[in-house]
Amino acid sequence: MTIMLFQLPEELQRLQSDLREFLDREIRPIADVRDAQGPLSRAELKDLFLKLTPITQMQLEAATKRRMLSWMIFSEEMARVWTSLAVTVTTSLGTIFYLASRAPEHMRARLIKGGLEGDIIGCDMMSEPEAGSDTGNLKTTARLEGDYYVVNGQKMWPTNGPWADVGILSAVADPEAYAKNRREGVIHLIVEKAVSPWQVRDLPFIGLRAGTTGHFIFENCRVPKENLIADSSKGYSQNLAGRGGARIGVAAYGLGIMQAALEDSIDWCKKRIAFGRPIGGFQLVQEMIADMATDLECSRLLVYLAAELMDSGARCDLEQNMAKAFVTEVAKRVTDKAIQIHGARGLTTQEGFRLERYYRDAVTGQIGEGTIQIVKLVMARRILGISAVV
Amino acid sequence: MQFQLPEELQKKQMELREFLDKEIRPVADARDAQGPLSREELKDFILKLRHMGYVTGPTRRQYGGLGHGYLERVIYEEEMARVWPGLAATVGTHSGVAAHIIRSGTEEMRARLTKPMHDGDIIACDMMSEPQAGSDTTNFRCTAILEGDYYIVNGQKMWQTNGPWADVGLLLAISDPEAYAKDPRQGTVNLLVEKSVSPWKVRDLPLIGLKAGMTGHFVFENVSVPKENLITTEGYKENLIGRGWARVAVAAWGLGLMQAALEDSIDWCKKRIAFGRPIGGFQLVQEMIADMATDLACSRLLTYRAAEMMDAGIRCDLEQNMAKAFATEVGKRVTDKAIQIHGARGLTTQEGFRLERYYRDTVTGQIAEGTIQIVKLVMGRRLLGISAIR
Repeated sequence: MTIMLFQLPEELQRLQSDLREFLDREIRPIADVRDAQGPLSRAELKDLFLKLTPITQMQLEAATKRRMLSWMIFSEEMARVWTSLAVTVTTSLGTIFYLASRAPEHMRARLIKGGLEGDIIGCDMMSEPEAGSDTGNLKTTARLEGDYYVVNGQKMWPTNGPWADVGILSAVADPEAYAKNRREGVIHLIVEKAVSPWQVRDLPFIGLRAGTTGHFIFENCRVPKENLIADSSKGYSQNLAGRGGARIGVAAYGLGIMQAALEDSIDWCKKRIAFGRPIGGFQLVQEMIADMATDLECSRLLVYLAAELMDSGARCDLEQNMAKAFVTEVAKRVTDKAIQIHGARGLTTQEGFRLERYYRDAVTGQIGEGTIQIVKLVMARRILGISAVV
Repeated sequence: MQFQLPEELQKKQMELREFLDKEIRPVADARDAQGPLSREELKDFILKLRHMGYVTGPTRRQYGGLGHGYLERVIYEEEMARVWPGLAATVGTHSGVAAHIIRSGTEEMRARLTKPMHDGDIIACDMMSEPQAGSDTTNFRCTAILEGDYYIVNGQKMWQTNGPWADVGLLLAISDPEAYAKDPRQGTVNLLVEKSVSPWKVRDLPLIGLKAGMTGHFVFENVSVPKENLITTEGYKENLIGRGWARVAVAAWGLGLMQAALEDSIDWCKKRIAFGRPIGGFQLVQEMIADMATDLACSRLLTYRAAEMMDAGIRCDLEQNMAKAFATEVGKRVTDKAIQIHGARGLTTQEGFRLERYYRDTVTGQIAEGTIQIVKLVMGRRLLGISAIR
């Protein structure tokens, strides 16, 4: 048998079609009604996690062989039916698996079971009101006092924030070292709301309506010192490593959104009659369809390439950033064309159409995990060896 | 590893690049602007390029060639175009058509023509398009009517790469006008035509790009072609097969052009100082570099994938067309940005810069083997099952 290099390996193609079948049946009908009504309740969220159990199991099995590539497929297929839920679930699980691999022994089993069953929601607490991609500007501090780190500061924009039971907190433990070199002095702590209560509010978005986004305030919040998972020398590099994966994760949501937009558009082109023929028979409509399909295929290949490189352990910041910048850029034009093809039906929030949702969700992707602009500047710095940022 | 060239092809690519940088590039930069090569120059290049497997590559092993697969051929076309698209189009077309004649022709044709074609003593060309018919395969007018032992050919062929040099051609003509009028898939033949036996009139049609090459406008007036020169009575089908590869080859030339434009631009960004720093330190320049690299990466993945599917014998008209439409469209914007980055040096035809040549060569790609527009409509028809052409 010929091994095809520029396609997904067969077992992942199978995973993809199994996921798609399950999600079309179990989740899509809920998504189309529920998304517009705003953040899920914790009870709804737990029900959805339980409902997803068969496919999270499938994913975890596939992940033992190809970790990132299978996560991309999972994120893509989830996003195809309900982007908002995809972002919530993959962010929570991604955070929790990361934490579990580094947490003190006694926390691990509880974290994984609770995470998979939706009893524990995880969240990555890195960005702040004035620092995200600019990693040299973190203000939140974690000062060691006896057996506790005392945390002060704000975190802003973390997905799942208001729901979060646990989080990965980036904080400055050694302000002096950090002021000299932003690669030093940043630590990662596991924070648990039950142990170290914090204040948090929701920041509603244009898209991802069923999810929540947090603005946290930590005021003398005490975190047990055994919750340290990355010390002063590692926090920064862990942040970078995590962000690489997160960037292609955002790109993977874009794949799902574009796939959904393209499918709906193809159906509609065949059904809608104007001037005596299906609108799919008009050349300007066909051009939009051909462009959408091509943008989607390029996007897929870029995301899968970056994920495959990650799985093989190769350096791939350039490929990760290409995927994030390209996919989130073209996701906007693909969903925009889908609206155009549907006419006023593309704009309506009712009547069983969901094009405007695709567009709103796609727009969030261009900002999530670094704007398209900062991502391009990081790429160019790598290519040219010259920084245009600092 | 998935989504990457296999290691042996990566190695091959580097070897080709090294050879071509040493042997061909220094000549290309001076020679291209001076117009069509002489026959002697052309023969010299063919012999030189044969050393690295370019000329005999497409011919099957049992007929004395190297039997390269399509993916390998894409690498050759890409690397050739990186140094000299004018020469790639000339020698690549000759080699491809030669392989076609050797594969589909009779034993007698093979015995007589293989060596002189591989030696560059006989130049081959594909004679399909006409003044009024290229992608519109229903509108051919050139006829080849069997009378006794000869086909009598009447009509015109236009836009053939290598036309004025051609000693032999693969001629598509209508042998049964009635059958063809009813169904354009019927009634056409492919004939081997030889100038020494069946003299024709031909003139050169200079183009904006590919200046070292020539393009033919043929007039056939009662030209007699021996009936033994029949290659197939399934002219239509034979044609479609050839065109699939030709579209991928044009995309591959785009890859080489973009690679060259990106390399030159990266060098220049680091060297050129403005306002006290290398222009590569400006964000708007960095964005152009990042976009160029991403467009190129997408084009590569699409083109390699189509070629790999051809090698595996999987239907891939959609993928071939995506590669052609995308790579030639973004090829223009990549070479355009390269000019922008170089300023007036991007426009000059002298001073050792070659950016304007990249742009001119890229523009020819958007038309060759079907305009971007017809290619998109063929894609649209495949995706929607509706024709917007007729």
